[in-house]
Amino acid sequence: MLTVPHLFVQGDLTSAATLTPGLATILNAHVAPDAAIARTKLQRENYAPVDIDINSMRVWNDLGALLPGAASGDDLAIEDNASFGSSTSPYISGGDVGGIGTDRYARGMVALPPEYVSGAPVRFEIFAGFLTTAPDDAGFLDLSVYKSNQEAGIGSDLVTTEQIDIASTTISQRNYAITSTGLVAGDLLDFRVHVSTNDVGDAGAMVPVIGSIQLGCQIQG
Amino acid sequence: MVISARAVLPNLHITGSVTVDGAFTPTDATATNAKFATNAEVQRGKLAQLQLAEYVIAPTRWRVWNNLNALLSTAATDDLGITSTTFGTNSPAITAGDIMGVTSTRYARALIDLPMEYDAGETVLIRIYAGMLTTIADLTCNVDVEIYESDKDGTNDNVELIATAPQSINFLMFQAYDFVVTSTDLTPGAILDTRITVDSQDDNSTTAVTPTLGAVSLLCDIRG
Repeated sequence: MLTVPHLFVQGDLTSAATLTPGLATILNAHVAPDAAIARTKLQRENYAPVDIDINSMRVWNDLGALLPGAASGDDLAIEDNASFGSSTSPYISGGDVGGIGTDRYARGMVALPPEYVSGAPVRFEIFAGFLTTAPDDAGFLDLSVYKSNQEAGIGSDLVTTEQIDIASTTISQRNYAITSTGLVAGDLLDFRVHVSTNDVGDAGAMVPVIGSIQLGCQIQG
Repeated sequence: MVISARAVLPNLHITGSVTVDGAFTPTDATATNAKFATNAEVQRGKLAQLQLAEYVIAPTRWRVWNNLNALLSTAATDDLGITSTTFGTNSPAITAGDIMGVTSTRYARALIDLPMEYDAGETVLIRIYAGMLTTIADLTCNVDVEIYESDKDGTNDNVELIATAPQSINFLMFQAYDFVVTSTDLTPGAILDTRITVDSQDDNSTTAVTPTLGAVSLLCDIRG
């Protein structure tokens, strides 16, 4: 084999065997305009976030209604923070549950994006906890997800994660895994969050909070 | 090192750099991710086009057609509705309600934006998955789509972009109905002011006749 330190070729450089570009040498200009690099050749990203606008969440058993301004009965609320620009952002609220037991819900819909890799992992990422005080007995967050069959029917609940204890004033990300076998880009998911609480001592205000909901899925491109 | 023109070498290992004035064609499948510069910035236009990528317009995104402040509720008069069946039993859908024995024309409206990865001027469709629940209408039931592109100044050019005629959905079996959008001048970020119509006529049925749109999607050619 001939070894040379540098090579300048005035014409074309071809090889009957392998001609490999050096590491990190390919720039945009080197890629043919009609390269048509396939999506499947792009790097996969795990749990790329698909944002779900919490302002779009609905009353779970009345999709014609946005979430109310105050939680009551079995409905979670949207705390819209009329003082826009203050130190808080909108969040889904369970209301003050001090001294009572509650089961409150909200419902939304989200579609898997075109970049989603069929059958690849999917999860819901929900930031949740309590404001001010945690309940003295229980505070749980549960999620149910059904895939629309694009008629009016559904399959079974896709969530494999049990309800998660959120009875803490540290608001943090809670992950809910989804059975993703058979899921493809464009699938429409009908989901419901469920906050269940119980408090006896009523030691001040205690408000279940969902600060954000995201769909995390594996994508290419 | 300069090698004379048309030099043929059996094997060559270069410890330094190579500069080629002419063409340099790497062997197929050798341009792995690691070979791309970290600042390669490969342009979107050099990626393969994915044809008819689907962007679902969830039933909850639709509004009352002549009052965009209002969400869909129960179908009535000229408004389509949204079903709120028990969670876990049925999925939400857009409904024309029970039109047994009546003639109705009902609408819903949404603003649909073309995504940033849309390949300008390429194919755009609105796909509606639709059918009839319980019973078909004894006369007709059609679905139609109309689209006007917003000029983003509160006006539009009054040019209707749908090239497909109304289609009958008067079948118990749900299926996809495509409406072709004239996309010649469309670009990423275009806002499509979209109205769907369910036009039905029934005068003899004895059980519920419920036109249902299970899903509506934007399909378009994208890159990246």
